[in-house]
Amino acid sequence: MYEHSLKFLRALPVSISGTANNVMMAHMKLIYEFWGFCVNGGNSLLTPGGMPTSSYINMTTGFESGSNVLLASGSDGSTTLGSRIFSAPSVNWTSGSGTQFLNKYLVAWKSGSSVSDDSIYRITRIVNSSSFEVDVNSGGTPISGSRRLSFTSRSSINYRIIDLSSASILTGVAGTSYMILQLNSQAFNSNSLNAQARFMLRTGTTSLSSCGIAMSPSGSWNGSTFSDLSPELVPDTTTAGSTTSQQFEWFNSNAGFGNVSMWADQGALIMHTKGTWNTQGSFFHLEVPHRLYPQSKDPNVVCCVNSGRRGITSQNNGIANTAAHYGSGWLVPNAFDNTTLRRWNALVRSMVGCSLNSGMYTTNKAAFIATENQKQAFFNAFTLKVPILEIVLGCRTTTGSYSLGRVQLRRGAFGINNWPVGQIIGDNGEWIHVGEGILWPWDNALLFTSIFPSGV
Amino acid sequence: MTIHICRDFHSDFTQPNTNLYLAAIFLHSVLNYTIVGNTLFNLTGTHRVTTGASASINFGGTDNFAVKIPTASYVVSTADHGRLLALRSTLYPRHNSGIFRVLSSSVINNYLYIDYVAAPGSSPPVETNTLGFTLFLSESNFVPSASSAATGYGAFGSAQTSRIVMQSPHSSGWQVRICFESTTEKNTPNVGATMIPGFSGSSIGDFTTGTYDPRFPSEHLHQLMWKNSRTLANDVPGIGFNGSIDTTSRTRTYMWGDDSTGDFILVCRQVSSSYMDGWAGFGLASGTQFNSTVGLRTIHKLFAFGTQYTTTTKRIAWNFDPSFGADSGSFGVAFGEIGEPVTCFPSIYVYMGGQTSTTSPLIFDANASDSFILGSTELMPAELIAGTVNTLGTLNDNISTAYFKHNPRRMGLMPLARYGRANFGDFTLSTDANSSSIHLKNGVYLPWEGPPLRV
Repeated sequence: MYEHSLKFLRALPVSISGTANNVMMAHMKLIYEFWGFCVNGGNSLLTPGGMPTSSYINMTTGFESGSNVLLASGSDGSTTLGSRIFSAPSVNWTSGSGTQFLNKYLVAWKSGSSVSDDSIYRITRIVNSSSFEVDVNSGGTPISGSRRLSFTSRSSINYRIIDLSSASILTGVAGTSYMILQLNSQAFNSNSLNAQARFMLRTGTTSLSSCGIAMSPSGSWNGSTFSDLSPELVPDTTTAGSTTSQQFEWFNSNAGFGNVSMWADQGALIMHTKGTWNTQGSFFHLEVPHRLYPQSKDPNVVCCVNSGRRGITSQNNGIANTAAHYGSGWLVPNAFDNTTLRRWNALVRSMVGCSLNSGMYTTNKAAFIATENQKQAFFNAFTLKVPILEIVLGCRTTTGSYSLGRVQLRRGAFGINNWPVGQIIGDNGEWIHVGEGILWPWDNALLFTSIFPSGV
Repeated sequence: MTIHICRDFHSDFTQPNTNLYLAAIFLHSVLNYTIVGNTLFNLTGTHRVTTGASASINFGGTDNFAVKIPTASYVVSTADHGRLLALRSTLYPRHNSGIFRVLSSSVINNYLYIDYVAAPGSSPPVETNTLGFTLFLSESNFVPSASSAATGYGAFGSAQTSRIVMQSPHSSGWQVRICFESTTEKNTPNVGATMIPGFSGSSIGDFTTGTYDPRFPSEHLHQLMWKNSRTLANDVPGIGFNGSIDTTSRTRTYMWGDDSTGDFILVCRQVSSSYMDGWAGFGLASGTQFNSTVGLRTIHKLFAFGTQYTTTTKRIAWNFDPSFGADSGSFGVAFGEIGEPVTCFPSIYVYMGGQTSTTSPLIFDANASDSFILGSTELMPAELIAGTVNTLGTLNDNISTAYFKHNPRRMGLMPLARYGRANFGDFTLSTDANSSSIHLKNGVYLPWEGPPLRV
């Protein structure tokens, strides 16, 4: 089923002018286009998929398809294997000054497609009136053999041409502006209702530089309210909606240049962003995980971690600490304990029993091995394989929230930090190392640059 | 796949002798292991009194705990008092299977009255002509020999050390060697007795010494025997106890076994001595082998674990730790893809970061409680991970004399045992209606669904 297939936005280079406000608007626009069309798009060129049918967005006028933001659209796109040319003769791409579409962004997709060509690309050259060239490395499909990224041969491709700069300077958003995503939970857990996640802009240091994520495991949005919304997960806090911790925002600098990456299937969305707009990378990981409890006890599961300006780390600072790391910043909504924001821990198998013994591991992290010799314990020289560990989420914050292992991540795994960032792991290159042993899904593609060119 | 349980056998006799004897009886007479060979461990020749089928149990009233032996098979007498009666029940394997001490008899009815070892008021489910039975001499009659060979591995070849090889009921025919270990091994690596699986056991109760010649494979998990060495320390898990190995003390023994796979776990519960606690076992990793390699065979799924000689108090625990530091002391072995024994650790989920000691896994957390969603104690399986440590006792393994080789591999799940919150009563049954599990200590849970425990 195609909803299991991954779509990628691979280190899309983005240049934004203005303030952190503008940076946030550009990111919201990228999330909207990638999730709503590349991952979940149907045949409508204006209505996104993967969102509730009513009142799914409250941003500002023109955010979705205003004439300054959506420059062109159509369904006659075509591509050829090995090429980076996109052809769509229904639009005259040389009209006007001949450069109006240059450096704008192509959002391409086919309804029901499992091909990772469905992505967002920067237009780099206008070839002629019916076609243009893109930087295919932000999406594309790895070619068998070389594993380099390219378009595949397709026709009747849907497309939208987006002016990201115009989207970034839209006014009228506020600290309550939101967008609701709907996840296809039923595709991953039997007899599950489809979960929803609300992304709401929040005030940061001086502007709307933060984003809180709240989840509805049963997808209860009725157009105006949720009936089971979890506490909101703002970066780096254990207090719902709090903005008092030091790193509660994605962006702490002004606009400039950076790279935005996303990973998604219809039940998961991961985003990482690093540019001149933040001192370290920010990310979130939202997904419908595999449930480990019986369906009758725990029918609807969804989870998220939302981290601001910490890069990607496996740190676990304890339940009293507010720092949101991949190791300790998760939230799995719980109907029995839904008023207080609880911190869930990421758990992995110890390779030596029941602890991270300091003689084998260092810095209190499972990814850091003490000696060069012991690193041989994590590479099987006989089979040329490395162990890849699944990640389970558990909780120990309070007696009432205690869980040994409630869910298992589908789109995250774990290894050791012996590999460089960007190392491709697995028999079929199905994982990529993003730091401190954390693995995000991959498709064996070779990149010309780092997966995080602007830093982790 | 039927799990049989030997519930709470009480003994005042020498350890680990008694546990070895009980293990052999349970494997043979309850799980249907067959005997391949032995040296000074003639279980069925020297120690077995009689065996048969069609026994019955529980005749009501004062005969609740009476086992009727068919008179055509055996005529009971007062000489049977104090002996050990092994029962194999296919109808109630967690109630009526096990090893029971004969307390008295009725010649008129040909009954043997057994110590059923359950809470007052408990009675065995009635069975009529469906029990398999085997009567053995008391454990006081089992006096194994620990005489060592002059060179090499001490309990091997012509050495007069008591050991036995038995074949499991599994379709692959994998075997286990139960050995009292010689005085050499009792000194270094200070292990009292071992239960190690493998293949191709001999008539004198040994596996073969190791060779890298693929024409002559030596497939078993006993590192000392494989290397034919007496200089390797800390490299074979067993039933180990601190201080004097052959300490005489009251102990309570529990055993679990699967009569299809052959999986087996023994738990020794201390009563008076503070160092009699321990658990050991062996069997087949279950489920899918992660990152598996085509060509792996049954030998690569076999594992064994034990509580090594140590002063730690967490001897029945998930504290498998290769450094043998505080609160650790258990480890295991498996068979590597490289063709020789490797280390093996039952592994639980730990925090991705921030957990350095063996006392701080999630199961020991102060907030540990029953799951608010499940409404019961949450239990998880451990996974067996092989080949990640090459020198036990120290993790400074950048040395040329490492005892094992690195050959990392995720083997699959550990059978029978589960881990859960440690702040549950020791040797206490779960609170669900079926008493589906028993918490031993330190978050170690094993299946139950048997009668209430005798305090």
